[in-house]
Formats: sequence, C-alpha cells, structure tokens
Amino acid sequence: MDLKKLALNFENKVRDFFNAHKTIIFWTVVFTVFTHIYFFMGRYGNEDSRFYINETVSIFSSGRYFYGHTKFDFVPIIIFLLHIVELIFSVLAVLSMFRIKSKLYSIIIAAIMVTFPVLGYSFSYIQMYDTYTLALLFSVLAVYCADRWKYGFFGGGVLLACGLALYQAYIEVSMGFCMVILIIEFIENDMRDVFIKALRFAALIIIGFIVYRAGIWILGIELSNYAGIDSMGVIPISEIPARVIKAYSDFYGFFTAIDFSVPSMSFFYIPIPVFVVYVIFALFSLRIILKAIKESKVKLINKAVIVIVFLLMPFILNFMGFAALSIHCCMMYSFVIPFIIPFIFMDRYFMDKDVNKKTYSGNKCFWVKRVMVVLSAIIIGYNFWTTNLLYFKLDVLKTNTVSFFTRMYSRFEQLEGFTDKTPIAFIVDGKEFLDKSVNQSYAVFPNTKTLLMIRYNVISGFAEGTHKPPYYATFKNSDFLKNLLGIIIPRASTEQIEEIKKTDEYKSMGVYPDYDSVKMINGIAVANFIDNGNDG
Amino acid sequence: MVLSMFRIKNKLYSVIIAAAAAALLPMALNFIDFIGFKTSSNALNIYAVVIIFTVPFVIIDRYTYRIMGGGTKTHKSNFFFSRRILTILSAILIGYNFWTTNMVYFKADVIKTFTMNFENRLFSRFEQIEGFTLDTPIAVISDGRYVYGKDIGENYDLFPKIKGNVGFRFNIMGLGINSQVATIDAKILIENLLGISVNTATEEQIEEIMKTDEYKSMGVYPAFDSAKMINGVAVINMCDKEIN
Repeated sequence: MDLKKLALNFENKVRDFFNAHKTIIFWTVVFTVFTHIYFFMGRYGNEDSRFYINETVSIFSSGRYFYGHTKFDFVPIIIFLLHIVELIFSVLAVLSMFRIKSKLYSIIIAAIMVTFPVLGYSFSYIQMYDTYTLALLFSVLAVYCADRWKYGFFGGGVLLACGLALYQAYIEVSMGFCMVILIIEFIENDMRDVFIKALRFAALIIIGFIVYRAGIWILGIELSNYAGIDSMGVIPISEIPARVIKAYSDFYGFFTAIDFSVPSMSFFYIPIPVFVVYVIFALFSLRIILKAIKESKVKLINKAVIVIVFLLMPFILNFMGFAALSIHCCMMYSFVIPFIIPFIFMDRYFMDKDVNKKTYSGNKCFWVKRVMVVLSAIIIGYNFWTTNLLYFKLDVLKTNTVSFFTRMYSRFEQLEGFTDKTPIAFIVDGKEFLDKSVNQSYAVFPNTKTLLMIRYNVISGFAEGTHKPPYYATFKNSDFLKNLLGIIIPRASTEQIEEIKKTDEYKSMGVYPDYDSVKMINGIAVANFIDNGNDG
Repeated sequence: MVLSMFRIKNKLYSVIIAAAAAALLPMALNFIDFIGFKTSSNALNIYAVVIIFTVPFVIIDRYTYRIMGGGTKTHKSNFFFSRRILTILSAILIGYNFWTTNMVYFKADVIKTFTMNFENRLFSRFEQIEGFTLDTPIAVISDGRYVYGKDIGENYDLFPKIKGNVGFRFNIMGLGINSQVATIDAKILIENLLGISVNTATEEQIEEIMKTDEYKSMGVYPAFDSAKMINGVAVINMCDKEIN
C-alpha cells in the first residue's frame, strides 16, 4: 500500500470538497454566527436548565444515551464551534441529497436551516445544548446514505439510531426528507422504482429503531415516564383519532400561533405581516408543486399518490405529536422542511443552465421564483429576529434572576447567627408562584411582550416540575447561588423543610419580600414564598 | 543561518553549534527569569515561548522546499509525512489555544459576575446603616487573611465545568491584603461595576476606627453586626479577630 499516494489522494479530495462547497460553507457560517452568537457569548438557560446545572438526572432514563459527548466541560463558544461544523455538514448533506445546482437556492436553504427558531429555542435547554445539531446531522446523513447507496440503509440505520439516542424527535427530520425524496421519485420514475426506494427507507427506519432499542437493552436503561417516553409508540386504539388530529393541529398551530389543541400552546409569536408572508409562501409553494406534477409525464395514479403523500406530510413532520404523550417545541425542527421543499422543486424543475454564464436560471415560473426568493428573505429575517428575541429574553431572565438572588441572599446574610455554613430553604408552592409570573407582559426595553415561548420571564428558579422531588426550588436555587453568585452554601433537606413548616415560627411568617418573610428557624435560614394568611 | 553566515562546512562543528543554539533557546526565551532571578515569573512574561511553535514551520518552509523551473516552489519528498503530521499537530494546538483562551475569558466573566453580586450586597449593607448618604466615606476593614467565599476553589462543579488551573484563581475580587487596599478596591468596584460614586476613609481615619470599642465589638461580614457607622465613616468589618 502506497501511503504517500493515499495521503495525496485524501488531500486532493479534501481540497476539491472545500473548493466545491466554499460558498455554502461561508454563508452557513455567516448566518449561523449572526443568528446565534448572542446566546453563545453568555451563560443563559431557561427555567428547566436550573434543574440540570449540576445534575444529569433523567438524561439516560429519557433514552438519550448517546448524549454526553461534551457535557459541561466546554465553554459555550466551543460548543458553538461544534454546532457550526455540524450545521455545515447537515446543510451540505441536504444540498447533495437533492443535487441542488443553484447557488442562490443553496444559500437560501442553508440560511433557513440554520436560522430556524426551533434551533435557538432548543439551545436554551443548556443541559442538552450540545446535542441538537449533532442529532440533526445524524438524521440527515442517515437519509443520505439510504438514498445514495443500494444497501446504505444498513449504515444509515446505525446513524439514525445515534440520532435517536441523542434526541428522539429528530427522526421526524429523517422521515420528512424520505417523504420528499419519495415525492420526487413519484414524479420522475415508475411505481416499481418508487416502491423499491420506499422499502429501503422503511428498512432504514426499522433498522434505526432496532439498533436504538438494542442500545437501551444493552445499557440496561429503564425509560422514565417523562413526556411519555416509556410509552412512546404504544397508542391505545381509542386515542388514535385524537392524536392524529393533534398532530395536524399542532403543525398548523406552529405557523399560525393559534392554539388549535389543548394543552398545546403558541410556540412563537407570529406578527400579522409574517403570517401573511407564510400564507403567500404556502400558496406559491403549492403552485410550484402542482405545476411540477402537472408537467411530469407520470400516470394519474402517481399523481394521486403524490397528493396523498403531501396530505400526510404534516402528520409525518409532527410524528412525535402522534407517537408521544406530549410534544415540545424542541421536537419541531422538522417543520423547517416545508420551507425547503419549494426551492428543491424550483431548482429541479424550473431551472435551465445558462452555458455562457455557467449559472442556473430560466424563464419557467419567472415571477414565482423571484417572489419566493423575496419571501424567503423575509422569513429568514423573521427567524433571525425571533431567535434573537428569544436570546434577549433569556438574557433578561438571567439578569432579573441574578439580581433577585442577590437581594434574596443579602436577606439571608443579615439574619442573626447566619454564616456560610447555615443551610438555606426556599419554601415555595411552585404553582402559586408560577401563576403569578408566567408570560407576564411587563414592559422591558426592548419590549418583550411578544409571546415568544420562554415562560417564567420575570425570574426563574421557582417552578417545581411535577416529575421532580418536593422542595426542588431549594435544591436548584442553591445550585443557582453557586453558579451565578459564587456562593457555596448547604441546603436544607426535605425532612428539615417539613419540620420547619410545622413550627409556629414558620406559620407566622410573611410572604417574600415582607420584612418577616426571611427567618432563622431550627438553625436554617428560611425564605417563605407561600401565603399563610399573615399580613406580614 | 549562523552556519551559512560564517561558511562553516565542517559537519561536526555544525552539529555542535546547532546543539548549543538549541540548548540556549529556552534560556533566551525566558531571559527575564534569568536576569530578574528574584522576581516571580508570570504568564505575562513568557509570550516568547510561542517561538518554539513557529520554529518547525520556519525550518520546513526554508529547507524542505526546492525551486523548480519557472520559479514555482515544491516540497522535497523526503519530508512528506513530517510536514503533514506537523500540520495536523499544529491544528490541534491552535484548537487547544482557542479553548484555553476562552476558558480564561470565561473565568474572568465568572469572577466579574461573582464580584458584582458581592459588591451589590456589600453596598446594600452600607446603604442600610443609619445616617448613610452617598457623601459618607466608606471603609472596609481587612487584614487579607479572612477571605469571603474562600470555598470557591478550582475544579468545582460550575456550569460549564472549570478544569485545571487556567489563568485565574477563583475568588471574588476586591478583598485586599489590608484595610487601605480593601477600601480602595471596594470604591473602584462599586464605581465601575455598580455605577455608584463613593468616598473613602483615609488611612488615619481607618486607624482611629480600629482603636474604638465600637469597632472591637463588631462581627465579621456577613454577620448582622458587621456594618456600622463609626466616627462618621460607614464601616464593614472583614477582619476576623479570632484569626488574629
């Protein structure tokens, strides 16, 4: 074996790869950096992240056993570098999968993928913020392998399993891209070819699940009931119609900010002009797809199947809304695919090569193509705005919370007999406190009234999740004091808090910030946030 | 270069001179440590060490190329793998430099946040002293031995985790080695981090305060009786008399 020759070949391939994709790499980096740099320059997190600052509870039991490749060992900017690399390869895999020729459309697809606000929202879960783009990369590569090579579904299945073991919901991305490829096959090939490809994709999904479940079995993981993870895919027949309706309604709710289903919620604030842009974009996308189908020479049956597949698309893209008990905004990255589809179709069916200029253009759908480019620019702008509004809210949340705990700890410090060895206790009824603070529309500059779904936007640290132990506020707030204020202090145990709540001293306490809401009881510094009916 | 400058062609001499130069290089790069023997060495003094990382590339560029016809440069084939391995290693080193530099910046950010919150609480205590106004001089009594937040050490489970002794030690800033320094530190930090202008007590005033019975009966911060108005000066005591 001539090592030198191998090394030279490898170098040439890397050089050719870079030269062929340098424009896309450049623009992917630019859009990613501009959109997400805010978050990765600070230490922001949402309410849930407080649980996990020092704890890695339920990561394994949630079936995400491949998680933990970086944990918290790296500063955020290093995680950001990893995200950039993973996003570059995800974008390139999508562009290669659909053989996109137009540079402009490639840049638009890259920009839509990296600015899609679900990504920014996902990052705010800092306990897992290093996983999402890697899960995306695995999901896209899985489809790429299954599509590109005859037996690629074997390797693709392993990649899909890796993606599932990072964040299960990214399987929707794989399924969505499989559907898009199948639609193209329906338009371009006969039924037999389509059937074979569909079988390959089915094998990809099945192998992915088998390998993923094998991992769970080998590692002896007992799945938790969090978000219905342990019962995922096990659906009582009577629930099927309601879950199908929910999968569809959440899909449309995402783009309209309308709560179609309870207990779903508006994921992002959609201003009316953006809503109008979405509607026009959808209509023009429909026009492009219908024209492509109309101009194809396939049989009527193919055309009918294409329409059915399109109707199934929202269900496939929100498959978790059907298969899992509860869904979450982080599970909805697959909703980026509807924004990509029209550009795949325009590039494939309405472009001619201008030999002299070596560019792709053409007169087919002349105005439609241009309108779509303008609309996509607006959508990318909205994605950028909404993601940075989210980051701004995280910043406000952090600042408010740090300021609050500075005042709070100052009260502890002034208690007679308090030292840095005194245990602390926060006595909180999570729900009562939460009801006061969720989605409060108070005027912050810039105004954060918009219903961008970061809740608890006054301060964080007091929501006690239903799946967490009692008095978790004490637990996580002592972590918060350590991480944000540099104060290492013991915390009272659940038993100690129960004892405190029985004392007359506690019962006579006011509610924070009353002067008598912070007291030393049984050698523990207690802050009370429950209204015991005292005037204070 | 030295060898060619003096036209030394004897191989043995060349080897000896090259070995001597290599042996002298560390001393040359850390010359300050040599001439300032009694001064403590500091990371600020040792940027010159970066030269060690550039030397291989200078040599590769200078001696492993040959000029081909037409003036184009090409590599000599006998260093094929060395060049590639060095390039890969340098990429890893650059990555490490990026990581460690950002870790230092991260620690500086953490220290600033901790300090700002500490100064907030400290100033809140000054504000609560009866008779305090923004014209009241402040004094922080310290002997540098009592370190508030001393348990915040290296390697503790902060998010993100801090690994190893990178750059800074992990303490709140402004806890000076004596009362004068601690008082000036408090003034500077309150002004710069909180945006509040304050006056400070003079050295003589602080000495007078420390002689009073009122001061001697004070607790140590954060005790409730660690902040008092003495002789018209707002005083916070960080001097643990038990240690003394």
